[in-house]
Amino acid sequence: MKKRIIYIAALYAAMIFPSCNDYLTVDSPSSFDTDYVFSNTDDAKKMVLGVYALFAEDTYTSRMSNVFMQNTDVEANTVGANPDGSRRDIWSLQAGLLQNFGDIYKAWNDNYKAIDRANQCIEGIEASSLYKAGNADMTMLLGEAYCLRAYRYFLLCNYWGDVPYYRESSKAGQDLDKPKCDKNKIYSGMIQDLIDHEEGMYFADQYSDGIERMNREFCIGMIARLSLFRAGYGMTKDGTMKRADDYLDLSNDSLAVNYKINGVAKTAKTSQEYYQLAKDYCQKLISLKDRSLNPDFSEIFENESKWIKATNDDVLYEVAFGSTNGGGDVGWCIGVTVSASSFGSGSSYVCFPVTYYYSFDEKDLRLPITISMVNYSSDTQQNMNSANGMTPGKWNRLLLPASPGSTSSKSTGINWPLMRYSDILLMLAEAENELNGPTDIAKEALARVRNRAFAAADRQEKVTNYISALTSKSDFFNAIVNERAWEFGGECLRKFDLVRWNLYGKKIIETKQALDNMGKAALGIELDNPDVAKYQNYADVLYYSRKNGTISILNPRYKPTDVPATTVPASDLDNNPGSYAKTDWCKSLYQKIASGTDYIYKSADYTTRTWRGYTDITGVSPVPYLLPISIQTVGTSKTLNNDGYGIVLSAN
Amino acid sequence: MQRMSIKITNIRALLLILLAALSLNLSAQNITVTGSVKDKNGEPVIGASVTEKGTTNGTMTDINGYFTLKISGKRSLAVSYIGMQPQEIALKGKTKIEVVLEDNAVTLSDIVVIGYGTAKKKDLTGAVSSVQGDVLAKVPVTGAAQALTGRLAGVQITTADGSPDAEMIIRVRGGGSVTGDNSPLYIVDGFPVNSINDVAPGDIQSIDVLKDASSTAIYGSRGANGVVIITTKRAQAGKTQVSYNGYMQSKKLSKRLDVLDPYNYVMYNYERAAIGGDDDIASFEKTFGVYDDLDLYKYQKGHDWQDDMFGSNVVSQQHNISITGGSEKTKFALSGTYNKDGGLMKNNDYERYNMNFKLSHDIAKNLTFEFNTRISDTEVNGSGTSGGTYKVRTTQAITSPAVNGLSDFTTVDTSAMTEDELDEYVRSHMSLTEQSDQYWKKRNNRIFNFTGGLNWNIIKDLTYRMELGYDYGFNETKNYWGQYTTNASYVNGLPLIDWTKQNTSKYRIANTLTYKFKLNNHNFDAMIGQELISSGANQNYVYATGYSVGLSPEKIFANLGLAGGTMSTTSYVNADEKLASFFGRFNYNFKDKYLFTFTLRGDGSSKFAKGNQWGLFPAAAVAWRISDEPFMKSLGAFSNLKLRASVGEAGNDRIGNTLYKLNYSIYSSKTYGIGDKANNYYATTNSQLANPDLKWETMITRNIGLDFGLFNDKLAGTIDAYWNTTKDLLIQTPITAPGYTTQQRNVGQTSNKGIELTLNAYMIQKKNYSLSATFNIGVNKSNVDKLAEGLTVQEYASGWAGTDLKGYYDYHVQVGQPVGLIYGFVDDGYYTTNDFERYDSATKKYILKSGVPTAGILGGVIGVRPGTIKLKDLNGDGAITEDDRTVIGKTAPKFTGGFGLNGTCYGFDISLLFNFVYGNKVYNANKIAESQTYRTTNSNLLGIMSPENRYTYLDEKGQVVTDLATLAEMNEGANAKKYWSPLSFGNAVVLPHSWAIEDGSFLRLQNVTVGYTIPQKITRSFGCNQLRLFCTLNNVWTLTNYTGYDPEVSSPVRGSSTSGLTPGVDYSTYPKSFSYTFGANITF
Repeated sequence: MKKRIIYIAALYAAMIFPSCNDYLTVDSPSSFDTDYVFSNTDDAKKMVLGVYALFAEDTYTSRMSNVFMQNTDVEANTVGANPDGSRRDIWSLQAGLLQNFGDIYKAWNDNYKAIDRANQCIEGIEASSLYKAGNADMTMLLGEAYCLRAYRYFLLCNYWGDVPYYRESSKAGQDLDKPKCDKNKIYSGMIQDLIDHEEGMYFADQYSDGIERMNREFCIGMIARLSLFRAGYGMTKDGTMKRADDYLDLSNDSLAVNYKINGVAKTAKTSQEYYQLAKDYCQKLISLKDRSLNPDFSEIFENESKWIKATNDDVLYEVAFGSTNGGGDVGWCIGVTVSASSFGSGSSYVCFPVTYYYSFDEKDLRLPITISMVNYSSDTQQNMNSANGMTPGKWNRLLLPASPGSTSSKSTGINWPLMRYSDILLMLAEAENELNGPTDIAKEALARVRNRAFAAADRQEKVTNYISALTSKSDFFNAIVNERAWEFGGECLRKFDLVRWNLYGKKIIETKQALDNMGKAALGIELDNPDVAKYQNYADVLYYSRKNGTISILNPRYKPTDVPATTVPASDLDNNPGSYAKTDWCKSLYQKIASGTDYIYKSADYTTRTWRGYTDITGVSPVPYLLPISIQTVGTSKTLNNDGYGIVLSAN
Repeated sequence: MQRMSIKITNIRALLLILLAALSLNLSAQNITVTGSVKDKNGEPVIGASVTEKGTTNGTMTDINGYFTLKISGKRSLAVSYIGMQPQEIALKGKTKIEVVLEDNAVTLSDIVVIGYGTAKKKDLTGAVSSVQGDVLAKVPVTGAAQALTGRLAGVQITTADGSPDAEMIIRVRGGGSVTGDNSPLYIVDGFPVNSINDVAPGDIQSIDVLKDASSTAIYGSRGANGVVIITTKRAQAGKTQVSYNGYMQSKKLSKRLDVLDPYNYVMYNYERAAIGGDDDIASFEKTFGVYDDLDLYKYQKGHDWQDDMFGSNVVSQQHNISITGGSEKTKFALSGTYNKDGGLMKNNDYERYNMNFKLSHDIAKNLTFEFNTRISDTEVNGSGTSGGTYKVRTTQAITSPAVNGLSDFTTVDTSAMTEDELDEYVRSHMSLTEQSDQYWKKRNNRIFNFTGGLNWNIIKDLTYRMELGYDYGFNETKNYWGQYTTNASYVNGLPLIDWTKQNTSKYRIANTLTYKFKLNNHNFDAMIGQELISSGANQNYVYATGYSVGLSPEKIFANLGLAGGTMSTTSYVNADEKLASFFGRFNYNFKDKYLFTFTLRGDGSSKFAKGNQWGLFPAAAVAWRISDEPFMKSLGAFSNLKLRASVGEAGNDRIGNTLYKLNYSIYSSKTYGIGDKANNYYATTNSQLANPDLKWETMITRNIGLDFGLFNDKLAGTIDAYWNTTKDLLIQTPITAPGYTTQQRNVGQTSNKGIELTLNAYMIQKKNYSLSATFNIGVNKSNVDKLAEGLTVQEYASGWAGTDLKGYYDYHVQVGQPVGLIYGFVDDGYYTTNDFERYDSATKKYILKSGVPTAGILGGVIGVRPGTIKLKDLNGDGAITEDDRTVIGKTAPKFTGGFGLNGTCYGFDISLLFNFVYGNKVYNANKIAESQTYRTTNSNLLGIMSPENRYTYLDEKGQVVTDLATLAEMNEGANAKKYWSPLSFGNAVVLPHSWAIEDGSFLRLQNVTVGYTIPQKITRSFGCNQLRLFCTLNNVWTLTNYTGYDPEVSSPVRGSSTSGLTPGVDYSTYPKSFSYTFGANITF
């Protein structure tokens, strides 16, 4: 009995008094600590993939990468009669109304989430023993983390201007509610990071994931791109557009970048020095890894639609949306509109104004690839787009190698190019022109891009003669501004190029005037004005026929020499082989309204609405292009607000 | 039903075995005793149990109340009957006795279950409310919580909505914590559970709600929001009793809302198109035809979408069979319940099987063993109305097109359509029911709960008790998205599924030692104990796409391999949640008059980092039974009077696991697509920023109470006043930090002050008729005492419209104010023509007079023009912006309660139960979404937006009137319209404005039950001890000014961890129903 009591007592004690400290320490077998995830390259890659994964969020697939990049003189889409509290208010440059807009809140958060994940990767990899031992894969991953962080800050500074700047991952106890930091300091910091880690990265052909991971050539390209932004203009708190040189104390180390090129140590602080930096790094890439541009401009993008990832082609890096599980929105919200097909449907939210179409040289081979004048209502049935409703033609879901199904919408798996080799050439040309004017270096770089754009027979006139006529710095600069529009149309680089050049307002006004003048010419009014008269032969209407679903346009650009005697409604085209239908073209760019026995003429709704938030007819004052910080973010912050920066929070 | 019959067969088999084992011992009798058992009215008590004390030898009274029993003669007789006080009669040689049993109506001696023990109600020092099972049993309900509604003072029970599996939101004294989980701690037969929804109401013996620290502190860590203790029916010795309770029920939508008729519906959409411009008109004409033909819609009957969505013809039923019996040594109770609750929506229902088995056995004279098993199996079908993005919402029953337009008039030859055309046609012509079928959903919860207890009377009055419990749960959720869902369009337009399986397990070990002793007039009762609770969970998740359209969801889930697209599987094992505790309670009373209780509990929780794990929660209470004082006895009127006072602390650790540290987990959705495949990645396990400083949230409660009974307890009641303060609130706090938007923090302090009153009156108690009444009321005033340092206001969002909602944060938590302040714009009618200078036809703009504020945030197609909704420019800056918001309503009620009447008359019984809530505001978000075109095309509107009521712009020719004078004539002055134009708002713009903040007070006749008990004389003839038939009407009548479906609402984003801070939003809740029920209670 006694024994039994002792036994029971022992059991009892064992039950009551387990080591309490151990008992309350819990861990999930499904979680991993920091030490483990950076202990080998496979897991460390999964950490970096966590940064990349934020590219698969809507905030990037259909917002920051393209739809938010409007409205400019290149990408621009129609808006309604009034602001409506949605993305269209970004297009009409009235984003100030969108403090509430969830997409903006999420976009901001995803940028910072990516930055925080990148910071975790940077800290984790730099502390790992593999990296310290010089493991090349680890070094590559570290470089990618820096590139990813730099790209996210690039987005933040573009869209929001000055933003809080974090170089360390979030930890409890730190003061994380930081005030805004000048974007130029952030650019400098990012450039320095990339310079410091560029050499440890692989070129795309040195590892298996190719152009779908940020690689050395992209890193070098980003150094150049960030340098041009650092050298250029941006919106400042007082609502004016300035370069760092105009308002910052450049002796501040945080505005400086130190680098070594060809053994020479250099420091960049001023705009000029940053142009030099851009030039140095463009040249560095050319000397390390020069490549000839793909002579078939369309193949670059067809490859993307067909999920082909060629290394050492035009594309340095493209965002890998992948065909599964997320899949991206290229071909759904940007690209050729397909309203119904066995490949599903998508309707481009990114469009081009007709002025952009006419800005191309007729013989520019890029024109029919960049701009789609048609949309599809089945796999083969084409329909005409409207004059201002033309869409990017570079991507088309009908080219997908495997059909995603007739009721599919998003998730096309078409990759999104972030930088192409022609960008390196044009950045070199631009930087060199800023530093030394239109030298041979600058001209040669431009020539390489234009050579690809024209057939051999046209090159003498369109390339050689065209470039040799660019004798002044400003002429050459304008040529660069135009060339970038033609080369990258639909790739959504325009908005922030215009910002850094401080040309946004001017280009809007030019576009609006051109739209009005083309419309007036088509309606036959004010022809005594040479600015109107020069559009006289532009097509007022387009005549087109359709055979086996494919549309041929009788007069794709100018008024036809022989106007078809009769036309049929578009819906009857298929029943009347050989007949023509017509669609209003330049005629749609101006309004002619009957008023009693007379007519009233006025700008088309498209022209007055599309850039509604910018009203200065001189084009001089800054465009309110920045997004507001979401009310949700402002609401929780002690330091952040939307004061200044030209953000008009409420207007009619 | 086939499953049911199998269960019944099983139960019968078990019963037979048990009966055989427990057959009464019939030896060694030598004296025959005869007698009668009567109630105090002299009526024979039929079926009373008469046993020889301490043996299994016994019998039952017959139809006349007589019994005959042979006994050994040494022992006394024990006589008992349900609902009456048992008696013990010493025979002292007598062979013929007459026993008069007293009714149990006197509640004072009721046993109340308190933590780790029981107490006589008269000995309580704390605030405890109780309901007995027999009261609940009379009213047919699906779940335990539902049965409590309106019955307990200070316990507010809100049915989240009308869905068959509606969540019951229980708040004890307002709930102190403002975290998402404000629900009390639920204990079923000693075992902590997450929900009491799966407890069959028929199994309940009693429900006790512990409200003040004196009683809750013994639960320490988890008692801060009150403790609800459910005791299931005990095993009872005596004659084996079989009873059946069951009902059949039918229900319908209890209220309908008016919508625009087809003509007005079409005209509204024409008006919108006409103002929008030519493109809009063109697309309108495509759907509805040209303006001149619109008259035709006057003769068309519109779709009744409320009928389509909520008009399902449903029958609900519940059947419960229970058996109790046993000997003095071994007793058992077994019960099985089947419940099926239909929903107003087609294919939405709730089905549950319960099995409850209790066994107690005396191993030795001083050693008792108890064993309980509780099994429940619940199946919930349908995705309801508020299941998140892309699903069907309640508002669609209002806003869906009243007519389809031209396609209603033409016969469509679908056979001639191409596949794509047919697809588009089907998609645009689906009814809401068909749409909701596209979101097929099935949830199963199976819970197996086993508890065992060992009671050892070591020496007299020293008892050791060990309890072991194990709970295993299998939960699964199956979702299917049909081909017409948006989700499907992202994955090749084919059906897809996901399937989450979760296993949970929880074990509990508790040891207590209780010692009672008495020294003269000093009574001591001490208890010490220890408890360990650990729960774990793991999940498997399958996601698969590309199923063919013809497969039913059931077929797909049975054949996952048919996936034509991707299939991915993930698994996750949670960190365990652990709690280690030590506790003690010391009761002392002097002469049963002066009572004193001291409680102390120490809890260690795995939710916190080392150093913050342990919390210590003391409580003390005193009580004075004044009625036992000699001076009171002489007064006579008071049969009971007790004054109580208590103070104490309790804690709360209900937050996520391991929020105090940074960890990584693997993720497989929305991955980066290198190589056109999913590339799984690591990211932080918690989406909140880790906070190593997290610690216990602590509630201090103070309570003063008075229990009284007047006129021999004919009128009895309790009044309590309390003041609860909760500090170090665990709040998921919005923060600004890279990568994170929230962090769990200990922030601020809230308090609740209130008074509760419960009255029970037994007005008439006669042999053939009786009448009693109950009344309870709780007045609660909550207050935010302080917030994080330097803050006086913190903003929260209800999230009903996501970020479409202007200002986003529509709730404020403000120091000095109660929780639940609705924050929004103040209505000021609409802009009239007097507000405008002129109409500028060149710019198509209406020029406002100077000083009249503009409203750029509205985003409506009409912009700012006469008839646009006008909001008050509170900051006077000349423009309506988010800065013009203010507090527009308080959602906290001033008081809540209920009252009931119970009467009996010659076998008939009737009961009425009312409940009421007064003085709260409800945020009618449905009304906002239904009075404008919000995120829909060609939407319909609530009837209140008829052209007679709203500002309109169309002249007879269908032209938009822009002339100010004409507009004034149409809409102002003598023709003044009540409301603004619904076109004031953009398609994705909604804003919280004072118009939608409505008085939520209501008085509801919750149910009416009429029953008839067939006289035993008749029922005995077919072996039935008791047979009661009844009819119940539920949700009979509601007095309210509220214009929505029902004033009893819950926050729309229920799962959100901050929903406790954003109460009272009515958005897309499943409407409540009116139901009528027929049922029977039978005892054999």
